[in-house]
Order: sequence, then structure tokens, then C-alpha cells
Amino acid sequence: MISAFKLTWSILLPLGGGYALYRCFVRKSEFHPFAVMGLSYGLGLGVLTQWMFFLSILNIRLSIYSIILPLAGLMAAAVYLSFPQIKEMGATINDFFRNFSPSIKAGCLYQNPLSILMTCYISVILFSVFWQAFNIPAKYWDELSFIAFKAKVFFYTRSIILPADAPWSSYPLHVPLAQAWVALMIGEWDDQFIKIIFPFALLAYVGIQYAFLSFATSRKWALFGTCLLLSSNILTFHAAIGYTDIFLMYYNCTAIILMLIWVRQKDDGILLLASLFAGFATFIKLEGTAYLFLHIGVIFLLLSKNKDLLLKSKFLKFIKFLLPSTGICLSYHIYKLTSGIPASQGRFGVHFSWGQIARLSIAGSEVLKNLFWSGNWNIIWPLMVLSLIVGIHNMKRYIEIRIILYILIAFFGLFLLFCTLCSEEIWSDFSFYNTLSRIILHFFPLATIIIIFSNFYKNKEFL
Amino acid sequence: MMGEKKQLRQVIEATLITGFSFVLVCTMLIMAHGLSFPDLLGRLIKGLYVPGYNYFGVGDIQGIPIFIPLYFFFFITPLLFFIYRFAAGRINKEMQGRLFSSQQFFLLMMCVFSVVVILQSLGHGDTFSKQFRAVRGKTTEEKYRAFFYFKEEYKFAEFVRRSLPDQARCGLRHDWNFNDPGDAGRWISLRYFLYPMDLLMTASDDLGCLLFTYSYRIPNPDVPMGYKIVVYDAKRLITLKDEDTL
Repeated sequence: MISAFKLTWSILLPLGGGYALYRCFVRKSEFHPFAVMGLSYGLGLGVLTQWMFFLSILNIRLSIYSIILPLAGLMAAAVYLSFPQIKEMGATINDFFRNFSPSIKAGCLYQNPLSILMTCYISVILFSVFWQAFNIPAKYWDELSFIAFKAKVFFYTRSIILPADAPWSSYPLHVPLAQAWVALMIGEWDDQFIKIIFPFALLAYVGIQYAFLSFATSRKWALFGTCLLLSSNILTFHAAIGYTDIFLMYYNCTAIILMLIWVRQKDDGILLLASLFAGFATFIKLEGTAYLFLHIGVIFLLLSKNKDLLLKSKFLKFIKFLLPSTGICLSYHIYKLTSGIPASQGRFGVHFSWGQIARLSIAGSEVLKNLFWSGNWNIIWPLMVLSLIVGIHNMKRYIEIRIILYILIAFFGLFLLFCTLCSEEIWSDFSFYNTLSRIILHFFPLATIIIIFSNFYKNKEFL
Repeated sequence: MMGEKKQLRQVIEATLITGFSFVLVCTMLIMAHGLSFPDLLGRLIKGLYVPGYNYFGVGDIQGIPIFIPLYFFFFITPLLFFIYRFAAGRINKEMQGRLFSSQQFFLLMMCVFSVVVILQSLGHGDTFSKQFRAVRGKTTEEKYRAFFYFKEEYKFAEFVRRSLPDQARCGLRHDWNFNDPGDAGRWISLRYFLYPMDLLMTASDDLGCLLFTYSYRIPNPDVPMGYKIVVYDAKRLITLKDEDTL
């Protein structure tokens, strides 16, 4: 009972802190409560692990007090600064529930059997993910070999110094630190409870994508988009096991969604938030650093296409995105350099010879096989291709489709480039079977957003 | 009102055509492979949910990957819809010669997607119910002891933790080959479950304790002088310096 209470606080504290910070950043725009909760969770957890990392660099012992007390002060300041917005948010949530409950009483939902079906499907999938995360203890390879293992070391040693023979010491520390935080909160190491953060990452992302789609299209389309997202086997599976990929997907895709919202809302607070999320993604896996270049490219593209802004203003906005994200990214890489931790443990060695071009066909066919011939993604990728063909006229109408398409092309291009340019040693060790699905997962939700935007008609509700 | 009726008609048409197309594909498979309908359905359900933490595979129907009939279903449904609309004389009347509107296409794809999702969810549900029955009412330790792939290492780690102090530093003697995923898995499991106990790959004799774990019966362990033996089973044992207490 006490553990359950402490466990709840291990989620509520980052959520509350994240919410206060979110309110500091986003003052002009108003988001759906689901999105606010989803963003607050990621923001809170991201800041928390950065703080733990910072404390460890200063050789301060990680404890509940050393972590919470300064953060609580920061949160209090954030709450004080954004008190009017928080009051507004309270009113929004009240309105949401006030409007929601009579609609149930009046049988409003029953008039939309499709919405009910889709809501049921989403609830069942989320329930199964939560159940699995709470009932199956850490047991998969990467968890035991380095993710949960590092968290266990952090919990017992109260610092981020790893044993000399620890595997993958170059890997960023967000997930192990978040797991160590849960263990610190409950006061003991528990192989099952440390997995609580993963299903919440999925829930947070589902909230953000739903809110984004419902903001840009309609509630039913947003529900359908969520169903498409949750129909992926590997996505729901990874939300219930302790791997880092679900977090990288969450931070990466949320950063992209925030950039797309920023295009419509023109609120610089959202740009800053996107920058933080892109930065946090670099603290999850080494791939996050490569994705940061992609995010920077997207911001550059969006700013260069904007005709309303002056060059100076564009430059300032670019810097606003660049500083927080690269700051977070560089802090960890500089720490590695200064403490003698290898930069990438030989995972990113580059070498080129013309013969390596032949790898393109192998890598390309593996990618196609994974997208169209595996049980990972349901039939989302074929649906996306068909939707793009049939809804080609929507591509001109919605900048979102074009931007996401550029991102997907850039992502697959980046992967193929990596395969072509990596050293022979990496190439011979590289297992498409073990890694490709998890890499695609980082960008997979974008395919479901494309399907929705390509098929959406502003004046035509389906069903 | 008219719009709603038209939409409803489109939905009913799309649902019926998808249902018909699914039955057609199933019939073809049944005839080609001599399966019964429940058997075919069972294979489809199981084949669409083949869990793996790095990759979800797909099953097959007597050697044919499920994706072949699935894609056939995916493409034949719009074709049947087109034939139906052509036969009903709707193409020229409503669509100015176009095959379908994008909205009709979307409805159709949604129906196809729903069929795949239903089959896949049944497979997921089957796996889920098996897991549920297996872990219901069990503690974390019982789950590890019962289902963990490296449960022998888990049980050995439990024994070692009971036998030695928490912060002990132990060497490891083994016959593992780390190029073999099974042996590598044994090592990472043992190290994870023993932590905060320090497990060193260098089995130097000046350590307080040594763990022996072999894939065969240990006939006569090479125990340094001044160490005593605590036997776990025929393949695993602990040796520790005499001054250490159990």
C-alpha cells in the first residue's frame, strides 16, 4: 500500500513539475488537457533526469531530498509565475468534464457507435499495456544487460559512476536515471515497479497525438488516428517492456508535432518546448543526436518557407530552437569526453569506398521487408502509401503532410546513408533483425498522422 | 438527412464488400490447402501476432506467409467494390466516370484495416490471457522462478545472495562462451540479479569468494587453499574464505 502511494508520487511529481514548467513556456496557446498532461509528463521527467545528471556531475549524492528540494523550489517559482494560466487551465479541465459528463448522461456518445468502438479499442489496448508493464518484471536482454542494470547501479551507488566493465557506458542516461528515480521514491529496488514509466510514456504520446489530430481535424479522425497508432504490435509491446525506444519515439515525435503546431500557432513558447523535447531525445539513445540534426533541418526548412518573418527574426527563432536542444545534447557528450567515456563505443565509425554502395540494395530491401512484410506495423505503411496516392491533392492543402513526408524521407535516407558509410566492422556486426524495427519505431507514429491528413476532408465527417 | 442516408449506404456497401472479399479469400485458402474454416481462422489469428522484442514475425499457412493472402485481400477488396459499382451502374451516374471518391476509398481501407485489427487483437488477446493465467497471484520472485528464460541463473543468484553479504566481491569461474547468446544471457542475468554484489570476470584467488557455474557436473572443483565449499547443485557452487561466515 505504501509502495503504491510512493509509486504514484514518482509519476505525479514529474508530472506536476512538468506542468508548472509547461505553463511558464506556453502562455499564449491553449492545448487540449490530454496534450497538456502528455507534454507535462515528458517535460517533467526530462528536467528531472537532467537535474539528476547535473547533481551527479557535481558529485552530489542522489537522494530524494537532493533531487526534490531544489526542484520543488523551481516548481514553486514556476507555479507562482504562471498562476493566472494555471487558474485558466483549471477552468478548462472543469469545462471539459462538465461538458463530458452530460454528454454521457444524454446518451450522446451512443449516437456515435464508431466513436464508442474506437474508444473501446484504445482503452483495451492501453489496459493490456499497463497490465503487462505492471505484472511482467524486467526480463529482456537490453534491460538486464544495461538499461535496468545501470539504473540499479545508480540506485545503490547514488551516483552515475558505472563499474569499469559496464556495457554500453557511452549510452545516454535518461531511462536508467528515470528508473533510479522510481526506485529512490519507493525506497527499494523492485524489478517490476521500475517499469512504471514506460506505459505512461505511451499514454502521454497517445494524448499528444490525439490532441494534435483533433486540433487539426476532428475528434473522430483523431480517434481513428489513435487506433492506427495503437494497432502496431511492436509499439504496444515496447510500451510494456523496459527498452528505451518508446521514450525516444515519444520525445522525437512530440518534438516534430510541436514544430508543426508552432507553424500554425506562431507561439515561441511552443518552439522552446519543441527544442527541449528534441534535446531530451538526445539523452535517451545515441541515435537521438542524429535525429537532432534532422529536427534542426526541419526548423530551418520551416523558417526558410515562412514569408512573414524578417531575416533577423528568423535567425532569432532559429537560435531559440538551437540553444536549448544542442545545450542538452552537448552537456552529455562533453561529460563523456571529460570523464573518459568512449563517445560511441565504435558504433558510428565512418569509412567510404565505392564498393560500399552495394550495401544500399541490401539495406533498402531490409527496410522494405520490415515495413511491408513483418508483423510489426499492422498494415499502416501500405495504407500510408495508398493514402498518399489517393489523397495527393491534400498534400498541397496541408503543410503537415509535406513536412512529415520530408522528415520520413530524411530519416530513411539517414539510415541508408549510415549503412553505406559505416565501417566494415560495424556493417558485419549489424543485425537488421535486432535493430531495424526499433529504429523505425522512433518515427512510426508519423505514418499514422500522414494517413489521417491525407484522407481528411474539412467538410466531410466520416460516419 | 439525404447526406446521412448516402453515407450510411456507403458504409453498408463497404462493410458488405469487405466481408464478401474476406470470405472469398478464406474460401480460396480452404480449397487450396484443405483446411477447415476454424483451423484457418486459428492460423490467421496466431500468425498475425507473433511477439518478439526486436521483431514481430508473421505466421504462415502451410508454408505460405500470411502476408500473401493478406495483400490479396487488401487489393481484391477495392477491385470487388469497383465491379459492384460498375454492375450497379453507379460510376457514371455519381462519379463522373471516376472509380471511387477518396472518401469511399478511405471507408473501404478502414474496413480492411478493421478486419486485420480484429484478427490481430484476437491473437494479442490469446497471448494476453495466457500471460494473465500464468502470472496471476504470483510475486515477482515466483514469476522469475517459474517463467524467466534464465530461471536457473535467477535461482542460483537468490542462493548466492542468501549465502553471502550484500556488498561481497566475488570472482566467477565458468565455461561460458560469450559468442553464444545463451551463455551471454546467463552472464548478464547473473550479474544483474546479484548486484549490488560485485561479480568479477577475473577469478583471482585473493577475492573473498568464487562462484563456479558450469554446463556440466563439476567433478573436482579447483578450490584454492583456505576456501570452503557451499554446494548449490552439481553444476554450481560457491567457495569462500574460511573466515567468512555464511
